[in-house]
Parts: sequence; structure tokens; C-alpha cells
Amino acid sequence: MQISSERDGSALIVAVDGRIDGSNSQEFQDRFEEVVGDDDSAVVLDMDKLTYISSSGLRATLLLARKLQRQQAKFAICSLSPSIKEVFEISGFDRIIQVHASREEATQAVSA
Amino acid sequence: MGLKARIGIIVVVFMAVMVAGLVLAGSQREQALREQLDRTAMTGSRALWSKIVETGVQRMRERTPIVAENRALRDALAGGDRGEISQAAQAALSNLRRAGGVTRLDLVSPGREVLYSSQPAFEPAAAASDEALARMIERGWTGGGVAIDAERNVTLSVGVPLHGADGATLAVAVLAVDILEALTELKEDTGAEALIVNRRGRLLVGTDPEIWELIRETGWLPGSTSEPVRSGDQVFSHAAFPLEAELGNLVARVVTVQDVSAVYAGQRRVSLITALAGAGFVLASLVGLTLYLRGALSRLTEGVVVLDALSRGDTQATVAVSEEESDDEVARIARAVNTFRTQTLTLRRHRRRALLRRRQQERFIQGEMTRLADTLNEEERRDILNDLAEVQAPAATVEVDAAGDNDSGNELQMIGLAFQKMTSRVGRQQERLTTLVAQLQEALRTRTAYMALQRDLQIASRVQRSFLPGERFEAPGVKIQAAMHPAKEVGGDFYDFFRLDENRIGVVVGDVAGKGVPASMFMAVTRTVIRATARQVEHGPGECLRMVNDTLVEATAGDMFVTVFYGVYDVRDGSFVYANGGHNSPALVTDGGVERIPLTGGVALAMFDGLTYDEAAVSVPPGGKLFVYTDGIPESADVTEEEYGYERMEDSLRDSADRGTGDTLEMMLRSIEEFAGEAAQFDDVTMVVLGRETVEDEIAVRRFSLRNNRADLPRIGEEMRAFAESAGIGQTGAGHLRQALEAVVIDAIDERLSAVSEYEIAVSATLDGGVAEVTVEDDGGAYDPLEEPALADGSGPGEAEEPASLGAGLMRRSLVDEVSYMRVGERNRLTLRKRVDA
Repeated sequence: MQISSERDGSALIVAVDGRIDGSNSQEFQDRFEEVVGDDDSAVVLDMDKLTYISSSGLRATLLLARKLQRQQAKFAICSLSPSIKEVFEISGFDRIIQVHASREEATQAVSA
Repeated sequence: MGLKARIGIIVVVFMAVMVAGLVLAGSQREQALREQLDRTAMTGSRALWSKIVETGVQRMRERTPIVAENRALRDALAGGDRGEISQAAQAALSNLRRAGGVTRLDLVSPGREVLYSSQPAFEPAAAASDEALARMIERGWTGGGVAIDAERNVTLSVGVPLHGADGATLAVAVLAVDILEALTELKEDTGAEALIVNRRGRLLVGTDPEIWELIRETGWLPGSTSEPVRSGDQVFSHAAFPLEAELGNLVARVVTVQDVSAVYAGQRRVSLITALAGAGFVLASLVGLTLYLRGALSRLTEGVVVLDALSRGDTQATVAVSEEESDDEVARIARAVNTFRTQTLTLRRHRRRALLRRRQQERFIQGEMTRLADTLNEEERRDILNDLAEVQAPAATVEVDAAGDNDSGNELQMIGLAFQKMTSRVGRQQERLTTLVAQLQEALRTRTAYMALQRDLQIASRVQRSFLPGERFEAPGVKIQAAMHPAKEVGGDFYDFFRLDENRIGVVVGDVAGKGVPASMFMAVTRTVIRATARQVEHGPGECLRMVNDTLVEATAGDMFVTVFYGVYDVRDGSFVYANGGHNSPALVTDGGVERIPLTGGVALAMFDGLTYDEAAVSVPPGGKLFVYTDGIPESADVTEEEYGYERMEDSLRDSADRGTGDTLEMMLRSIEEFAGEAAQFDDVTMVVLGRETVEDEIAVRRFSLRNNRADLPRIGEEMRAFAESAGIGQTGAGHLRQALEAVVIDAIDERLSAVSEYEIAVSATLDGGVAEVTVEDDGGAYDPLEEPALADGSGPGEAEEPASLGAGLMRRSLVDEVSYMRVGERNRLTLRKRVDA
């Protein structure tokens, strides 16, 4: 699993690469929190290169989403592969977190 | 080269030298003899010649008065008239010839003018040299001897001065005779041809001029060599001496030549015979010697053959030698060879014995070291066997070059090496043992800690299991069966089914995100909350999940979540009302195929409060099945990390569409296992299948459950009595089955040391074809009652000679015919069988 970040206007875009499962979900959570500052108000998690996410990964993503919600930041995920999109749909979390098809769409949504 | 050949060669050479020496000496002697003979012949010839010359001269001198005292001649000379002189001279010559011994007369005036010569010539000359004439005229010399005139006529001449009356010298008369007469006389005396040859080898006069021609052709010159001269087949011996010419300037030799061909041929024959005799002698000697040597050396040859054989290691050959045989060197050698052979045989016997002894020792050491190696682990064994190879290696090389008496030294060397190896090995072993003991102590400490952790995990696992109902639930018209296939680590899967009322059954399947004790605990909480809420709330599953969600968010601070599928089945019409809290959509299996029932859009529970959950409903047709599962099934992965997926899951469901609930689960598990292969599974696999059935004939079936508590024991009697009645089993058989079942349950209560204090025991009794089968299932930790000796079989410790297992006890007492135990998933299954009278 690899994490990288870049800024697009006011939005911070975090891209994750590889798999997130029980063995590295905590690492994913810690790295994400390092990258995202307390004053960030718009964050996009790009899952374009993500190949697999387990329930632990899902849980980590939700915890991050709720943390950002508490600091009044807008959060969205984008570019989900069909299988990952299915995971979000089944668990119902696509109703909790904004899911966008592309990075531009997500950036626009959180920056507005 | 053999000795025989060498001796032969030496003898031949020696003889050849000897014969050659003899031949040389003979020829030398012959040569000397001939030379002496030649010298004698020459001396003789010379003396003879002198005598002949002297006699000739003497005879002529005796005739001189015929001329000197001839008056007519004196007068003619004094008158000086040539005619008169010639007349007088001829008359005198006639007188001389009559007297014999003189054939020629010459007259020379004191002025050295030839007045008369009986030898006809253009320029007459006297048969004496000028110097001799001068001496005659001037000093009245009357010498005589060999002379040569200007015409190269050689004569024997005598000079006579002729005096006048006044005493003055009127002329000199030279009386001569042809030298051939002297030569003929010499030939008659010696038998050899006599010749006179000048300095250049030219013949002047000779008895046989032709023989000189032959000799001249060979290039021989008088005095050059004393060897006989060969011309063709002819051989000539010769002798020569200088001619003394008193009356002339003549340098010449008298040569006598004799044809000795016949003599030489005889000589050659003698030489040839001698040579043949010599060669024959040598050959005969050689043959004789060879025969002798062959006889004498045959024993020696045999000895050599035997020695050769011995050196190759063949000890069969011997030399035959008798005791009384002569004591010569060869016989002694033969005896020595035989002695040597005997010694060799003895030495070989010794060496073989030593070798056998060493092999025994090697085998002993090898056996001991191999035996030692067998008691050790793989690595140690290899080391020991290496040592063995090293110990044996020098022994092997010794065997190759074993040349003598150092065998015993090598034996000791090998044992020494073996001991040395073993000593160092024992030392190393000691060190290693010390280290191992230390490591073992450390490991024991670690193990204690690990065991504690393991116990925690076991507790977590048991907590998880203990909250689950049995795997089977049956009611008229419906059969529910569940299976949970845990991953290595305890997870958060759970399932539940419970009666809500007479006709409705609640079915729950859930999956807590995460693993380990926290997930397990959270699962337990969730299940309890759901069960409690479901029984209280008269509203549907949606309302139930809403309340459970709010409760969980409140209770867990919202940092975990759990997906929950909850549905209520009505046995009357097969309707199934459900709500889905973020869980995988269950599959409905009907005649028409397999389909996943629609999601209801609910969010996973315990994270966000205030959520609502929609409901939906499907109808399960008779023979249809509803398959509820956790994501462990589609997410099972093989070694290449490919996922099992929904398609394979649905294929398996289609394959088992006409099978019962148990078979459906079993086929699904097998399908997943075949797919995953060796790959370790990270997630639990949990599934529940609900099958709608036509109401079955219940006569021969009775199911009930007990707690592992003595208080429940009376119920066994009640239930078994009801079973016997419904199945029509006789009193004795029913009594035996009851006693057997009681013994099993008491054994379970008394003997099992389980961490789980209370658990459910599910009993199922059936009758089929006159055989009653009672199945006892529980999940109170793995326990095989047939393995341990039992005390609770009712026989009491005093009666039995030795403690028997429960099963043996039951059968000894004829309570049952057959007892078997099986571990099924996480459950113990004990089956009792007994043939009963109907």
C-alpha cells in the first residue's frame, strides 16, 4: 500500500495504491492522518489505484470520514473500481460518504 | 637376450678370433718362408749366373791365341788394307767358331775405328763400350764380361790387344758370344725362364719373350715386390738381380720367371679345406654348447618362470627338484625359488589374516558409529557419517599400498582416529546440550506467556461459539442449517435463528469488521442486543435494526461497525421479510434458478446513529432455499489471490439446488476448499441455509436438547419414552437406549474439563429399518469419550478389573450395539446404534 498527496486549489487530494486489509488498515489510517492537516477543509481520497479493501479498510475509511466531519471538513472519495464500489454499496456507506466517479468531480464537490 | 644366447655369442666370437689368429699366423709364416725362399732362389740364380758368365769368359779367353797369334791377321792389320783385314778376320772367326764358345769377332783400331765386325750393320760397332775399348787399347786391358753394342745386342765379350812385331798395338779384337746362350744355360740350370730387362722394364733379350709380355701387362717392375705376379689363371714366381756389365754402359736386371700356377692352385685348395674344417669345428662346437646349455639351464628357466608367477601373485607354480639331485648352482637356485615360494605363501596368509582383522574392526566401528548416528537428528547423523567416512578413508589408502608389516600400525591409527573424532564430537555435543538447555529454559518462559495468550484467544473463540445456536433448527415445514468455517484467527462472524412465535422464525447473519478478541466481544454484544430487541419489538426487521443501531452506537462510541442481515420467516406461507444493514445480499434458490434478493439500502450498524432501515420481502417456494452468508465466501482467495466470487458461489448453489440443506452447505464448503487450495483464508466463512420443506413424516424422529446440567437428566427419560412410543420400540430396547444416553450425558458432565461451563447438548433419535440411532451433539470443546477410561458407566470402580472406556462399557453391558465418535466442525458428535424389536 502506498499513499501520496497533492493539492488542487483548496482541496487536498490523497491517492492510495494497492490493498487495504486487516494487516495494514491501521497503517493506512495513521498515514492518512499525517497527510491531512487539522485546518484542511476539503479532502478527496482517490481510490483509482486501490485493488482491494477489506472490512477493516472500510472501517478505517469511515473513521477518517467521521474525524473530518467533526473538524467541519468536506470529504469525498472517487474513482472506485467496480468491486470496491460494490463493497461501498453493500455496506451502505455510499450513503454516508460522497462517492464520485472522477477526481475532478470530487474536487469540485468538496471545494464548493 | 637370454643367457644361452649370450654364452653362444661369446663362444662364437672367441672361436672366430682364434681361428682368424691361426689363419693370420699361418699366412704370415708362409709369407716369411716364401720370402726366404725367394731370397735363396735369387742368391742361387745370381751365383749361378756369375758362374755361367765367368765360365763363358774363361772359355773365350782360352780361344784368344787363335786371334793373337794369327800372323796373317797381324800382317793384314800392319798393311792396313781393309780387304785383307776382313779376309784374315773371317778366317780367324771360322777357326774360333770351330773351336766353339765364340760367335762374333770385332776389330777396332787404336783410333777406335771399327775395322771389322762380324755383326752386319750400317755402322758397325764393337761389342764393347767405348770406355772398355779405350782401356784395352791404351793399357792393354784384356777384361771380359757382359756388353751391349750400339744395336743393343747384349753379348758376353772379351777384349784382346793385337801387337805388331814392333810391339805396337795394331788393333783390339773383341771376341763375343750372344748372351742368349748364357741365359739358356741359366734356364737349364734353374728351370726358370731367364730374361734381361732394362731399367724401364723393356726386354732386351730372354729365353721366352712371350712370358714377359704377360708379366708386363700386370704392371709389375723388377724389384717392386717379391709377391708372385698373377695374370689371369697363371701365377708366376720371379727373382731378379742386377746385371754387372763390365764391358758396357748397361743398367739392367737379370730376371728369372717361373710359372707356378699349378703350385698355387694346390695351395688354394689346401687353404679352402683348412677354412672349411675351421668353420665346421666352430659350428660343431656351437651346437654342442647349445645342447649342453639347454640341458644345464632348463632348471634355471623353470625357476625364472616360477619367480615371475610369484611376482604376479600366482603361487601355483613350483620347480621340481629331487633331494638326490646334484648339488650344482642351478639345483641350489631351484631349491631357493621353492623356499621363496613357501615364504611368499606364508606372508600372504599373514597379510590376509591381518586384513580380515582390520575389516572386522572397521565393521565394528562403522556399526557403532552408524548406531550412534541413528539415535541422533538428521544433521548430527550426517556429521557422524562424515566422521566415519574420514576414519575409513586412510584405511582404504593403506589397503592399496599395504606392502609389509605396518598393518598393525594402521589398525591402531584407524581406532585412534575414530576415538579422536568421537572425543571432539562428544565435547561439541556437550556444548550444544548446554546451549540447548539454556534455550529450552528461555522457550519455556516464552511458552508460558504464549499459552496465556493462546488461552485468551481460545476464550474469545468459545465466546463466539457459545453465543451461536446449534447448527440445525427444524420445525414442521422448515429446516435451517448453519455452518461456520473459522479462519485461523478468531473473527467476528455470527449467525442466529430463533422462534419469534409459533409460526415465525428470526434468522440473523452478521459480520463485525475486524478480528481478534475485540471483534469477538463486539459480536457477542451485537448478537445479544439483536436477539433481545427482536423478541421485544413487534414491528418488523427494519425497525429492529434501527433500534439495534442506535443502541450499538451508544454502547461502543462508534468506532466499530457490524453488517447485519435480519429476516423473519413465516412457516405458514414461506414469506420472508427482511432488512439489510450493509450486509451481502442473500441468494434465493428456486426451481427457476439462483438470484440474489434486493438490497434494502441499509448502512452497516454501530457507526452512525439516527439511521433508518427499509424492509423488503421475498417468498420462498416449497423446495426453495434461502442462502445467507458473510463476505468470507466471495472473498475467499486462492494462491494467486483471485477471489472465489459470486459467480462460483451461485454455480455451487445451482449444483445443489435439489439437495437438502446439509448437502447444500457441504457442497459449498467443498467448492470453496477446492478453489482456495493451499491458500490460507483470512476471513471466516459463515453461511446459513433455510429450506422450505413439505411437512415430513415424524413418526420415527425425535429431537430435543439439554444443558450439561444434572437437573436436565430427568428429561432424557421423558423424551426417550416419547420416542419409543412414537417409533413403536419395545420396553427393553427403549430402557437400554435411555440408560446409554444417560451414561453419555453423565460422562460429559463429570469427566469433561471444559472451559465453557455451560453448553447445549442436542439429541436426535431416529428409527430406520429396525435400527435405532441416537445422535448426541455438543459444542463444549473437543472431547472423545471413547478414548478415556470412564468411571460413569455405572459399573463402579470396584467391579471392573480395569477402567474401560465409555463405549466399551456400554457395549459390554449390551446397552448398544455400536458406538462411534466424530468431530464435526467445532462440534462433538457421538452416535449410538442399537437393533431394536419393533
